[in-house]
Order: sequence, then C-alpha cells, then structure tokens
Amino acid sequence: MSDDDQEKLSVEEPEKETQPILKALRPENLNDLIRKGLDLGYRVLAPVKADELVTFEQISSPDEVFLESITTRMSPKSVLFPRTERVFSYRIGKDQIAVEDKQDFTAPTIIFGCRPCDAASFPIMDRLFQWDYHDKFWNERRKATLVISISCLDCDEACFCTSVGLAPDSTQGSDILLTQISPDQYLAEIMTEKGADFAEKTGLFDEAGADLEKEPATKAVKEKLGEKFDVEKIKPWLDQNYDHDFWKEVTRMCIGCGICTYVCPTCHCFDLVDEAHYDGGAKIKNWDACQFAAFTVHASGHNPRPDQISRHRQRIMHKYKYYPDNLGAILCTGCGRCVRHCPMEVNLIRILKGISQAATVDDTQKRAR
Amino acid sequence: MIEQIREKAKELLTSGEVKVVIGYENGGLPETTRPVFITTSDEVERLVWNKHCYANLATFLVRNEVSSIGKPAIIAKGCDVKAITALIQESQIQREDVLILGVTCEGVGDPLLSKCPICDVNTPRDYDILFGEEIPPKTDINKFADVEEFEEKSPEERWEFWEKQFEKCIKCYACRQVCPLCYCEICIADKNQPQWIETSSHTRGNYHWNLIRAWHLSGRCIDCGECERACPVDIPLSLLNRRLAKSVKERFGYEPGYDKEAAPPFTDFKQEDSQEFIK
Repeated sequence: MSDDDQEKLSVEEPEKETQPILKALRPENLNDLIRKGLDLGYRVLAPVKADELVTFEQISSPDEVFLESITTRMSPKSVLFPRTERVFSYRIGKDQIAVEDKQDFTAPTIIFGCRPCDAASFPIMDRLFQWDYHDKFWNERRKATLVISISCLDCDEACFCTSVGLAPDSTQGSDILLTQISPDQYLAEIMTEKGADFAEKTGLFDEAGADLEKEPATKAVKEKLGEKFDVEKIKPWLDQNYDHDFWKEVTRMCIGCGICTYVCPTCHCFDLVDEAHYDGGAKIKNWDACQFAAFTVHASGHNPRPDQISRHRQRIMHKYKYYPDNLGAILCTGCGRCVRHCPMEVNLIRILKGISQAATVDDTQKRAR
Repeated sequence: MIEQIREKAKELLTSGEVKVVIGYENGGLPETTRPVFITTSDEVERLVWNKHCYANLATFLVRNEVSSIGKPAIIAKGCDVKAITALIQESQIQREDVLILGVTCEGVGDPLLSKCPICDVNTPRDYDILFGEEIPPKTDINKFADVEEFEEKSPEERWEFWEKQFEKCIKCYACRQVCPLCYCEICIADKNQPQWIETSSHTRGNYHWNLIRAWHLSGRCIDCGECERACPVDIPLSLLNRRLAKSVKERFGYEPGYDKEAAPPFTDFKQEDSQEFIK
C-alpha cells in the first residue's frame, strides 16, 4: 500500500472511548433527564408518535416522547444528515453575486431514546464522512451531538442486529446507553467523555452497585433474535458471485423505490442539485438512492445498471462487500427497517440467509472435490 | 382454491401456454406475502392465496424484469384486474398477451384495507379463468364518502391538512414505483435537463411531486390503494387520488378499469363533454 493510499484510508479516531463508567438511573428520572437536557440548552430529538407514525422529532417536553416502538419508522440519521439541506445560496445583485454559505452546525444536540442499532450506525458512517473528504456537515453536527440510547428488551421478526455482530444492548455509537435492568432501575453505561460531562451536569445518576449487570435483562431478547444467517459467509460469497442467477431470483419483485435506502440508518448517498431563479439560487444536498433508475444514468444516456436486478445487487454489494473492502465495516446494523417497510417484502434477511446457505453448499462441494 | 390455482399454473407452464405465473408466496414476516414469478411447474407449490395478498401484481406486467420472461399468467383480484384493463385501455399491453387468473376476493388485510369495504369488483370484471365463488357486485356503496366529508372543510383547513401530510414526504417515490399506471419510462420527476420537479423534499418540492403525481393519475387511477399502502410515512394518497377520480366521474361519467373498450377521457373528445370551465 502506498503512502497515499494509507492516508486515504486513515479514519479520524472517534471520540476516545474510555472505560465505561457504570451508573444507575431511576425510571422516574428519565423524564428529568430529558428536561435537564432542554434546560441546559440542548436541542433534543426523540421518538414522537403522530397517528401510527413514530419518527425522531425535536421536542420541547418529555411528555412528547414515545419509547414503546421497537424502532422508529425513519432512522435518526436525518439529525446529522438531513434529507434536504442547503449547501450554500447566492443572490445575484446589480454588480455582484453574494454567496451565503455560513451555517452553524454547533447547536448542542441530544438524540434521545435511539436504539443501539441506530447508535451503531453513527461510527460506521463516520468512516465514510471522514474518509478522503471530511464532510463538515456530518462531522460538525456529529461533534455537537450527544447520543443517549436505550437497549431493546424486545424485538420483532425483522430485527437482525445479532446477525451482523451487534446486539440489543451494544454500546457502539452511544455516549450513554441505558438498559432497564429491573422495574425500578436503569443501568447507565457512560461510554465517552462527552457522555460523562453531561451525566455529571444533570446530577441525576446514582452510583451503581458492583452487582449491576445488564446481561440478565437482555438475555431473553438476545435468544429471541438468535442468529438469522452466518455473516462470515456473506462477503466471501459476494467476492465470487457478482454474476449469478441467484440475484435474478431474489430481487425480481423489487420495484425500485427508495424506501429501503431512505429508512436505512446507514445508507448515505446524496445528490447535489441547483435550484436557481433569475435573481439567485441555492446548491442543495438531497438524499439519493441506488435503487432509482436515474441514479447511474451517464450523460451519454448509457446506464451501467440497466435493470432493478443490478440495482438491488448493488445495495447488497455496497453494504456487505464494498464498504467492508474500502472502510472496514459492514454498512448495516440489522435494524430491520428495510425488511419491515418494503412494500414487496423483498426481505434482506431472506437474501442474506440465501447467500449464507449458498456459501455453505459451495464450501461443502469444495471440500468434496 | 389455492390447489386449483396451483393445478392450473402447472398445466399452463407444462403446456408452454405461458412462460411465467405471477402470483404470491408467503413472506418472511408474519401476515405478509411476496410477489413470486413461477417459471417451472415444479415450483407451483410456492403459490399462496390469502387475505395478505396485498400487492397489485399488474405493476409487473409493464416491468421489463418480468415482461422479458415471456407471456405471463397473473393472479389478480378485482382491483388488480382494473389495473390490467386500464393498461389495455392505454395501449400498454394487449389483452391476448396476458392470461388472467381471476380470484374472487372479500377484501385483504386484517383489519380490511380501507379500499375493501367500498369495492364493487369482488368478482373481477375480466378474467380467463375464475377461482372462487362469484360474489355479486355491491350496489349500495358510496366510494367517495370520505372525499365528500373532506370537502366540507374550509380551503384553509384542507390546505393545512395537506401541508402537514406532504411535509412528511421523503421523496422515495414508492407511490410511483408501486403504481401499475405509473409506467412512464422516464418520469417527469426524473427529467433534469431542466429539472422540472425539484427533487428536494422541502415544502415546495414536496408539493410539486405530490400534486404532479396525483394530476397525472386523474382519470387513470383505478384506486388499488397501493401508493397509500407503500408510503413509508403514511400520507393518505388515496384521498387525493379519489378526489380527482370523483371529478372525472362527475364530468365525464367515466371510471377507468371497468371497460377495456372505453376511451379514457383525456385521450378522447366528445361534443357533449362538460365544458363549463371554458368561459
């Protein structure tokens, strides 16, 4: 590897994880924790339920928070990576063009009540946004954001965090992870300095007894989750099988909408567009999706991914092969949103299970030879 | 019923009369099904028919990934058949190019999807082979009751309602992709030289998209409700679609998907067409 490559691959270290500090929090203090955040001047985003739709919204009172859903419909990535944002705008005056590109990303923010699968997505995405180009939109916001997540004590059939190396009580990406270990106690794992500072300021956390453990509380959900496929087998199979009839068989029902990528906590593709008027305009950054036919159309009109089968394969290749190849992590946290919300039940778990089974068959045949 | 469907599918594939049977198989999540494309007779056991067969499979008739396989047989509920008929009316497919395995249907979903209680095609109006007992069409239904109720609101209230709904839009275009009548090879929303419809999901962009989509389906939407079912942020798109359907019905006495010989109003001119809007 050349020095250049080495530099390209260097990833800014995420905030140093110190040895987690264990504290205890009483459930009745959960609301106080949110209130304290608001009082300290944080912008607080938390799951909010409107009709049947649960999404992360900015809240002004703990009463608005809804923590009962397994996951929110949309992931909290939009807090750091909004679906639409202005990069800069300009006004054409008589003798000059005035550019307005000053934006303040430093508003202290708390993402409260996100699930460990969502929190885990942040350091995975850091790798991309701190790769060859350091994206200030993501990084500045990330620095100003505190992630307080809550371990899952339940899951549904679409959840598969345990199959991609995570768990319903993973601390990855959380500044503070809360796990309800009994009806009257949360165990707080304070993972970062940022988290410790905040915990200190709130004065709501108690000393934790040495006997506090989260494992008994999350054991049942871990068992329910099980292991849905063998993730170790996925990449080696993908390395060998770019062209395979399997892709046609498993993706033919895909209709090419953007739901899977837009509900995903780790999909991060965007498009830069100009919205111009006679006296000014703006450069806008919008979410984009590899599932759209127009995503790869060249100026010549040629489209290297001419059908939905190749576009769907791309999504899986990106998550389980290209991203691990380039940035050393699987681009998926097993949150299950793509599985849950696909109108055609394409079902990523089914596809990964299929790959893991095909790989097992290949291995057996190799050994037999 | 499913046994008869499987038997027929096997026969059609063995004889070579069709190359693919488009149907449903059990999904991986509970109470779901997934579209399946059966090309060999030994796979017919995968086919299922139950109240979770939501998807309007007609959308695959105009998708190259499926149409390239060869002549299809398609399992279709009454609402799905309306989509097939509308595609024939709009010259996207020929009737003889598809074999319709019609299924009578008492409604899908548990609880029933909102389209089902106001359905008047429990027995499909067109099919090659019908499965299930015929159900006579309901006559005492008002398809537009909720639209009429909504029209009672003031323009300000309606504006506020839609503003709130469209604000949720994330521009995933699932409403378009799932729609059997949204078959344009290049959608106006994807034309970017110039960019007619802003791709941003700010208020203006969301209005652009949602209104254009609804207008392009006026007099064409057969109300299968797939856009609303697919929408990941629960925008009540069917209410919008049916508001336009109501206008078309009132002005032109026309509903798409009922008669394959009928000319769609926007492709046809009649002397007696209502023209009160020309002042």
